[in-house]
Amino acid sequence: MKANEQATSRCDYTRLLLDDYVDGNLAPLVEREVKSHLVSCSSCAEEAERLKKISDELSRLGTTTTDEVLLVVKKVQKAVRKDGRWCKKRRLKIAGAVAASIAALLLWSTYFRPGPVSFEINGKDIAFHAMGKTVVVDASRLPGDLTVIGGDVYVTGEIEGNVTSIDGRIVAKVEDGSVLSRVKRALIEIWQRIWR
Amino acid sequence: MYSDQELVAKTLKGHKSAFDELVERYAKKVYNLSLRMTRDPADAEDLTQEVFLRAYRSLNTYNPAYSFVNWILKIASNLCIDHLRRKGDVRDDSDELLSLEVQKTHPDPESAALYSEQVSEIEKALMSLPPKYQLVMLLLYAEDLKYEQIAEILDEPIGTVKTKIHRARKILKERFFSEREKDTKKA
Repeated sequence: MKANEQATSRCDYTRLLLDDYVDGNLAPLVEREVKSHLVSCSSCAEEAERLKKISDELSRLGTTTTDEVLLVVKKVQKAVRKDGRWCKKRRLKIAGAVAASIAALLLWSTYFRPGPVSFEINGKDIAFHAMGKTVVVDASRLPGDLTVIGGDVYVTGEIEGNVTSIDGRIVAKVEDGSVLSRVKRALIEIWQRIWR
Repeated sequence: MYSDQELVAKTLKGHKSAFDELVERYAKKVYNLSLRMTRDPADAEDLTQEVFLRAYRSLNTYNPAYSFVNWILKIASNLCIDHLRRKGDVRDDSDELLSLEVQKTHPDPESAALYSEQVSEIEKALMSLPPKYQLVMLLLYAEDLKYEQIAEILDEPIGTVKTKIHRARKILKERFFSEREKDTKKA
């Protein structure tokens, strides 16, 4: 290899390392090699000098004043407090869990009360559709008095006779036209479907 | 003094004042980066606010095994690039364009002229780079980060970061020294 070619290849090698050299990322041994080449090669030394100048200029880029930043900090903190979306999400999750627990408890207490249940119409035992310990009575199929023993009764229509619940509850006479009664009836129907 | 990770944990338990502390620690870094990228104090302020709001909302996704400052700078970097993209400032980052085009970051000529008077030559040269290259240089110099940190923030291999730094420096060097030579000739 001629002297010129050797020098060029050494220059190429050095220039590949100049960025890391300027940033101080070279291993000590390699850094010494680069330094020694820069001493003997004015072209590479000039290139290194220019890169260093750029780095120095960039490092001197001004930063904002403390007052400016304080103002920004206050605004950001205020915005975060006002937003609080993460907290809201968390609160919503908790509220949802509590509501679901209450609903489950109510459902359980309504339909799964312990104890035997029997019911009769006009004194005769009749098989009605029963969900757990709750009897659902469609008024169109109720010709006379209804007696339920040991369970709750849900009546979903007009009744000719009396409804009596012994050791249980008359949960609702549904068809009074109110929104609540309609909701109750809808819930009962959903529950019936699940139960079947 | 609590560590960043401890403050994050406290915030997640509902202590909002812990997040205030994180804002105090890193608002300057985020604001500086946003200001350098947008060159508009109002935009920088809005971006800083947005960065911390996003961080707050997604705090439960932060992995404490990593640096919090890198995480927040990652959000800031993405938002800055998105912001410039919306304003139409982000162009192709190909080598050809990188070396030929001078970026127009001030649609309003008056504000561009004013800004041009206020900033140093090196800033003008920096402004002429595409935002992704500016971002790398700002993370390296203004934020004083190591290559590894920049790679983590940008989600890129170190090799890519090094290449970007090398290309950006090359262009900056050419523009910076050619401007100086012009000035010397004029004088």
